[in-house]
Amino acid sequence: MRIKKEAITRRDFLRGTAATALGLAVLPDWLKAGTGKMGTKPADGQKSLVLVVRDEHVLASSQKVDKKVLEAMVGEIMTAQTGEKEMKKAWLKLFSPKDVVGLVPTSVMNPTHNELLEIVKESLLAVGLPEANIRMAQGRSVDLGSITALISLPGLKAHWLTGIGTVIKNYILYSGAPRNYHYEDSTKLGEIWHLPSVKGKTRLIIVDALLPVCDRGPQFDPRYRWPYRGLLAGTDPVALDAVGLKIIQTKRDELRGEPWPISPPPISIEAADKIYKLGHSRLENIEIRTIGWTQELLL
Amino acid sequence: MHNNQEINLPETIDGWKVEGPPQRIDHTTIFDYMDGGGELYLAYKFKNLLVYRYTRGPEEEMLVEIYQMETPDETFGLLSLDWTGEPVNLSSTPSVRPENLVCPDYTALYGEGLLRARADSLYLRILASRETPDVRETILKLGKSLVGKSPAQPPPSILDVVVPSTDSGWKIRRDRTAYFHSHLVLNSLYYLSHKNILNLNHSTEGLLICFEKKEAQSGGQLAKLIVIRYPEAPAALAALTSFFQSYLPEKADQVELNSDQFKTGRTRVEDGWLGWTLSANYLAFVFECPDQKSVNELFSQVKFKTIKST
Repeated sequence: MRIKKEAITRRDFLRGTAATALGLAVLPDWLKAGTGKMGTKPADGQKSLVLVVRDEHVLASSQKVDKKVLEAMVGEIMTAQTGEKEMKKAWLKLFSPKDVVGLVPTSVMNPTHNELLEIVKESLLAVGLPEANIRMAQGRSVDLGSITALISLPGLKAHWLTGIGTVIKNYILYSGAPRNYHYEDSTKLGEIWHLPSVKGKTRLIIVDALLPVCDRGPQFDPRYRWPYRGLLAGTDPVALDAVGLKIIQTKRDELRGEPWPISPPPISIEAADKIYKLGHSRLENIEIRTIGWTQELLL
Repeated sequence: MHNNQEINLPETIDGWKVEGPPQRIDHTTIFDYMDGGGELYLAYKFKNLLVYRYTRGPEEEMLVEIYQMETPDETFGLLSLDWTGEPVNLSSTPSVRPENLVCPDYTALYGEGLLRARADSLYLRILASRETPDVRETILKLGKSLVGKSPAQPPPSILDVVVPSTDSGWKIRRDRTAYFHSHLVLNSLYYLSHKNILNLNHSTEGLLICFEKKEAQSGGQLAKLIVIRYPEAPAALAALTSFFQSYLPEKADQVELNSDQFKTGRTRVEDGWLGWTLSANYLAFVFECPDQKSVNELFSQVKFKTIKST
């Protein structure tokens, strides 16, 4: 009998060798050449910053969003991210009025709240971007060539085929072939961030964690949505997914009163770190800065 | 109710009004309707789907999804993915079957504005955008009108291979029992590998059973039993071979490719003791057992010879 290991298995995760098992074989030819310095991962010893901004008043009892409170939360993000207290200066530190900015929300399972999209759009308009230069940029048919900057705005949620379906997965439709990035191929989700039309354009990521969904789906079940009343923000997509995963996993264990691991394991996060060099996947390499309400933080 | 083409939902109910004719989804359009979620229904032998949308006022919406599956077993499988929720009775025909010791007897579960139910070969999902007591009543009313006099269907026959033993120190967590055909579904319940290392497909039937120690406190370690029924013995042997190559490469030389005789064994891996048993067209594994004795105890509750392959 041929004795050959042919697949990544549960045992690889238990041993902590999943990334090794992945190897570099998944890299497409167009990426192999520059593996060493292709990503946006901070240098060794440098932590990634993830902001967790929460306000208990952002949702009414009916779970309707209080836009003013949400706007203040976005303001906290901009100040923490740029060091500027004045909002106009903060936005102008990340975006120029000459930019063409694509907003990339989540549309299914746990859609990004319209209020968040409106606030971001209004903020960009307020610093002088023409309305025509602010585009909804989720989907297969987006003209990425003309877009100079992306703001990723996914909803926090688990996913039945990839474990977690938030930041790294948010650009899946840019691949033109989303089914090629499910199952074992979810390891390759990171490569989409290296497509020439995508690479280097993401200047801000705000994860909508007002009402995350902690079950896998694939269809929405309201029993697994809960009012976390938060936004996660930063520029490291891997770190944001790692922190989102921690929140979701902790909520799942709390709901069941026993370990309820996300399954399948979200291999895309480790692959995005180890193979695609997009950011930090390990929590010890992430600075989590909490702003605002801290009850049931789950971190 | 055997066919979703026979369904006639009311145009209005409790102030809700149906929006136009139902949307008809088949296997060619299911990914347009629910993106990657379509894989779940295709994994359970999906035939088609009718989607009705009800609205009440400008902000309230209720989605009624009626999935036509090939057999009642498929609807059991879909419901078995999550046994939590409030069990409700939608059928006007009383069920007289004895209590099932392996899985819950529920055919409909409700929670926070979502009803999931099975009736014959139909799987129902009714989801309201906002839950109130009167919305709950309407959802259940619609559910009852869909289920009607459909007799309760028994669970898939593969469940009969598991015969709980009162002598064992392990008891079945009935709320974790699941039925599946696909490695995608298995992985969403209990991850083994991103690849299909057990060669699962529509011709195979799989069962996941979780056991807990009788004296254990809530939250204790669960041992898992996976039973797969293949169409014929060579397929089961091939699957065991594939499993060894991928999951236990260090033990791969223990399986003879040209033998179909009974095989059983156990070994210690990272998360506890793992056991396997091959018997004709059946293949069973136990995972996460604390010791060898537990492997034997779990396998002693599997009775392959009492069942004939369908």
